[in-house]
Amino acid sequence: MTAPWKSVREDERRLALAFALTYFLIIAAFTVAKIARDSLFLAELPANYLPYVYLGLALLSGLAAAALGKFHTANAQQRLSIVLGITGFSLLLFTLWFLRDPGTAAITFYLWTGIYGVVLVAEFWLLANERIDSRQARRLFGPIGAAGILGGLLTAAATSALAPFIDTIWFLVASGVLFLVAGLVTARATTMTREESTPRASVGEASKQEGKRTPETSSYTRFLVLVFLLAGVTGAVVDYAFKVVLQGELGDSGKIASALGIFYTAQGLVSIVAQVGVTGALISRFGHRLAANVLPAGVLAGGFLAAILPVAVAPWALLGTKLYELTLRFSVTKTAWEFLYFPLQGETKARVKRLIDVVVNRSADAAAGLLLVGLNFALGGSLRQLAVLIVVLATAWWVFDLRLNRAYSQEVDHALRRLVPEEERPEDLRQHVKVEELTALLESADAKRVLAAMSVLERLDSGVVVRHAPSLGRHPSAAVRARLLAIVNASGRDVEPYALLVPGIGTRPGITVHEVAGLPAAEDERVVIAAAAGRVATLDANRDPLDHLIEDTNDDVRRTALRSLALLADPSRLPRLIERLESPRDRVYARQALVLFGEGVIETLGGYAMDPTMSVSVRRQLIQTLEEIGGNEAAHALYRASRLEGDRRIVDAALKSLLALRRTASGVHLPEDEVLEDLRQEIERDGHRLVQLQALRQNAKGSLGDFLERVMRERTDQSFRRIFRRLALIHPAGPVMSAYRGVRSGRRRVRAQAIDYLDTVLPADLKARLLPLLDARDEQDRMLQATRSFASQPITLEATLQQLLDSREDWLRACGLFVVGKMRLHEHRDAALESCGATDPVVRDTAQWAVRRTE
Amino acid sequence: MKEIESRSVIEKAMLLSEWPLFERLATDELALIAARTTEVEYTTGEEVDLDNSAGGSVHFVVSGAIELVSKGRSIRRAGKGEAVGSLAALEEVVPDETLKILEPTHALLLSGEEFERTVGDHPEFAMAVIRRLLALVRGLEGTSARTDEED
Repeated sequence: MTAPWKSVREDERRLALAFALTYFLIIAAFTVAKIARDSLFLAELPANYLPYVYLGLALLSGLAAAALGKFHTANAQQRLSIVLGITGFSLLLFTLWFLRDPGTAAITFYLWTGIYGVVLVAEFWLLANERIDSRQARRLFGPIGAAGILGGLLTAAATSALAPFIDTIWFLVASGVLFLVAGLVTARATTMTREESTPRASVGEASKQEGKRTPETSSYTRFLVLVFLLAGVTGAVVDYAFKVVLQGELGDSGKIASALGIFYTAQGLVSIVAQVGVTGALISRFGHRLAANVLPAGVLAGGFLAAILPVAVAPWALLGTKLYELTLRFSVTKTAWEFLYFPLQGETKARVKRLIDVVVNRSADAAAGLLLVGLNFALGGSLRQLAVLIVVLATAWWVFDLRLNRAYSQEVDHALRRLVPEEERPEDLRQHVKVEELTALLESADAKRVLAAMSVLERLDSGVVVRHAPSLGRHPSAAVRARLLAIVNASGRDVEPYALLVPGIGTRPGITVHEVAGLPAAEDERVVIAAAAGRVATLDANRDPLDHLIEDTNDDVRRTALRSLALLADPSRLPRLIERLESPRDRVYARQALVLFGEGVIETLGGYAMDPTMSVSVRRQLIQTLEEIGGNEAAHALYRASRLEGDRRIVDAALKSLLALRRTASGVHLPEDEVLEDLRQEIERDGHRLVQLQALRQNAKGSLGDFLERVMRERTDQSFRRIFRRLALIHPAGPVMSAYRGVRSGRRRVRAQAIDYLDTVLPADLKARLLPLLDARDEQDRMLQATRSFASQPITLEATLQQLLDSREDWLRACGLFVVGKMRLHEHRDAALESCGATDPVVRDTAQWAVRRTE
Repeated sequence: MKEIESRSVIEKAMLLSEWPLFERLATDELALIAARTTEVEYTTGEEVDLDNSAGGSVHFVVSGAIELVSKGRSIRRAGKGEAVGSLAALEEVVPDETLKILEPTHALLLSGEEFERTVGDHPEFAMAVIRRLLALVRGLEGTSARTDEED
């Protein structure tokens, strides 16, 4: 068991203390008022008046919510202190009323307490929600809630002790004074806690975006309303049953006040134990949703016991149910419920919170009142009947509470997307280019203009170029004619009819694919030959011209020849095409040609992509080719490449392509267990890199130290990004990548929302490893967390160097060898000698250099 | 010109990391580019023909000073931390240009072909090149405007 205050960070203590003190006073004042309310009411009027009071409360709550709506321009702090002041003065006035007309005052006071109680608590938590983000809430809401419970506990105990000696009316005075003090504390203490780093503009912006979705129409809000309505109705029925038991057993106002004092003291004690011992651990370990699910399940069990136990014992079961319900409602569940509002933003959050706390809760009382009036009227309203009603209501509450879990995850996802929009996709060229203007350029006599227009038009709509074939085919520039024929060929059309449009070619029937010995000088003629070579069935006849033409000086000739080479569908030509991927000028054409081979070559291309002897450039191109081929088989080839350990550039490229492919193609399924295992390893790597970074910072100095620090920093950044990319392989990529950007953003609230999203999607063991790193205050704290979690041995430069030399990543190994050479570490010369024959050129070069330096 | 190969690839990468053109590249990418460069030393007064038939070349000056000269006219001077060269990949008609060595110079040489490959492989580098070219164009526009005003 960890005391909740221990988890509060030093820089958060002031904030936590201010809120805890305010909440302590509010709950203390409210508890005194509630005891006074119940004892005065039950002393003056019978308990079966209560259902009618619940109905009245619902009506008045609507008015109160409307009045608070007018208040929305004031900030949350001002609003709370004003409401506290009004409440304090009102209680002092009620004291006078009770002295003159206790019967009317009892009903009115009951109604008033019912309204301001929920309003105050709602306004307090709105203020807390505004000043505290969802990650801080996990640390701070527990202690703040505990302070509230302590306030209730101490005042209930004091009230119980004083009840036999002083008139109940004095409790009203005490409550009023406490509210006034709470108002003053709110006005002063929480001013100190205004969070300066929260960008107000961003909150406003989020509110505007959120404003498009009215809470009434949002499915999440509907779920919230339904669950809180069921929780409220069930709670009110439990409360009614409790009071029926109390009045049946006691009757006198002093006895009731004393019994209530004892009950609330006991409940306070149990609550504080629950809050201090269970809330934080339960929420941290199992999440706030599960912590909330516990309440309806327990109420259901209690109601069930009361329904089946003998009449003599059933009241005890109901008292136990009330104790349990009230304890959790004001400890674990209360804290867990506050998390439900974090995905909502700005004014929407305030509206929904008020709607639920004020209107829904009071409507729940009204609904409970109607149910109870109906039950009393139709069946008599015995304790057993009440117990059955509790069972029915608690079952419905529990079912919808479980469904709310999913709705909450979806809302976190939506909130994250609203706060961190998805990365902008490359803009469509059509938005910036006018086809008509480019088409007009096709008529130009200037070859450069025509060629430029043709290139852009081909990307927009190659049909436009083809439709201009009659004029383009007669253009004086052979380059223009060659481009026309290359575009025609690339679009899959037969070149021959278009070649006939070209005067030179049309009148030269002698141009054939066999005209190899002396290829014509004009590029348009060579394009025709290159295109024709791909359409002739006899392979041998075409190999030689194509071998020449794929190295032609003209881009259009090479492009056409590469396509033709692919059309021959001869797998033995693959290496030739792959070789062309090395050339910056041909790689796009070579890739397009490889795509023409289709799914039949995926395995071969995947094999080349994983081959460490191939150059990184070519391997990246092959990965892109696999992405362009698409489909499940290509996805699996990319997935295999994403699991390589030697070169992070290949892994990153494969993951990027895999995500792009998943975005455009449906039906791509990857083995979840393996992806999770990769994710686990990636998190481990990230942690170890942080530890190594810390070691280098502490030990390596000068330019070498700076360089190595830069390397390790990059490595942690890359590893961190890969964690999200891997996660996006098994979860919707949009919100996962938004979470990545959110975690990296400088906006604390956005960052908290992003981490919350991860909290909902990561398995428990991964959460335990990763979230402490993300929750860290700053980089220093992050490294400290990493050292605690990932460092198995003391951090020394020697240990870090050994880890680099043993690394499976080529670049890190090269860096380790570089340290060996730079610092002339003769003891590591053997490691350098071993790497002299490495496949990776940088490792090899650095190893040879290190060997020379350590001779 | 004297080719020297005393530095390791990583040392060359460390040198390149000081050029703004490479600042957005990861260190392993830098090493890949460094492996494509040749380390050269020139003596004062030496004149180097830029071999544009092979696609040109870019010199990244590590120390010293050189001047790009075209038809006897100085185009620009480059000192430590600056780059100078001409590229067939970027210029349709490559002028006859020479490098005049103003003081003992140590540079990393990236051939035109490798430069083109680097542009193709690293979009961050390509963007940096475009930014640099834009800055040069703006500089030329400024010079032209000033000349017009003076006229």
